[in-house]
Amino acid sequence: MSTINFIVMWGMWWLAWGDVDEKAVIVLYRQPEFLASRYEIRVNNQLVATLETKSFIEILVREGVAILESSDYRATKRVLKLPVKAGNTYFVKAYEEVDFLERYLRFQVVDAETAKKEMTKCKRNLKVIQPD
Amino acid sequence: MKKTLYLFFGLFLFAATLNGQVDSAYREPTVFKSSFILRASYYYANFGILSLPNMQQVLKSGQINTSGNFGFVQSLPFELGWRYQDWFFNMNISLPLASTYRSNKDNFNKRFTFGSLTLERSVFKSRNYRINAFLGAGYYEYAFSYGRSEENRQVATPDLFTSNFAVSPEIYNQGGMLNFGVSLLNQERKRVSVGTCIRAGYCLGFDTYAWKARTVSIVNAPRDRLGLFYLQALLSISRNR
Repeated sequence: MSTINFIVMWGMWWLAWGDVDEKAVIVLYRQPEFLASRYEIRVNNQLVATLETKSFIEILVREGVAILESSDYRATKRVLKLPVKAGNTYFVKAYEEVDFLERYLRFQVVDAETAKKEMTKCKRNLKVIQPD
Repeated sequence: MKKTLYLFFGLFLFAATLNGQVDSAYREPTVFKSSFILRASYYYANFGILSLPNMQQVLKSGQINTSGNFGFVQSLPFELGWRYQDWFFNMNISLPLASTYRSNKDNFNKRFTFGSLTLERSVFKSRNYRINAFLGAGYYEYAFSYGRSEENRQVATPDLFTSNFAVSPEIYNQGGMLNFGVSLLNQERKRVSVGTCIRAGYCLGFDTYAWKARTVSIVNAPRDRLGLFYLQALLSISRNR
């Protein structure tokens, strides 16, 4: 039984992450924020996840320009165009901006060291592959 | 040659800073040192629950039915404020709005107004919001009159202002008060910024004050100390530097 389990798990892993080397990883995170909303994150116009505060998601994307888009039913859409290379990891910090009658998510590309320090309070880990 | 190298290096740095940051690039929030603020509210966006227990007892013993309407007050607040870093100084006045409660065709008319000077300090700050605690002092007046229905009585027009009617004189309670509470506000984003302020506060009379009437003298007038819990939602416009 355990052998079957192992084969199934390995097969799933291979299907999901088999071509990791050909992809870039974008780690998108949000630190704790006061009275903040959650946002839907789209990569290259495809919905990949919902990003809340104190959480991060890892997105595997193809080499090229990744278009990250944040949206919420009451927020303005914002876009970040990020040129990515296969095998590299990019850390992107997101933060909600609130102004009168307007709210949106800002993105900032940060270095790995800063990101790892800031992500210590981020608890949820969601791994998604950019849909084809 | 040197100039070309500098130009090339400058262009390279410029390109490097642009790389990967389009449209939604993160920016450090603009921090304004001081603000001049005007705030106002809408009639239905603020209310208070008031306690003047001795007069409420008098009304109750006289079987005057106000159905809790005595203590529910609404007014129209206006505010002028100035901020320096985390300190705010506000002058606010809540204008009276007369309201009438009808019970069995009797009329209970009341109005409440208060004004205060408050000092506010930010106790919590995030990128988008502030929570302030405030303390101040001010002045209040609560006035009401009660008119019993006389719908079957007939009065000639010339007698309207000379006859006696079953209406009490307007009686009032006024005095100094302490005003304290907390408010939640938006951080200023632009040089001229529009924002909101939600405030929960409590007003406590400095002392017990006697009830008075403007047209008669009340013998053995009851004394009351104000207790008022209020909520306000204000819209603000600020000029920031």
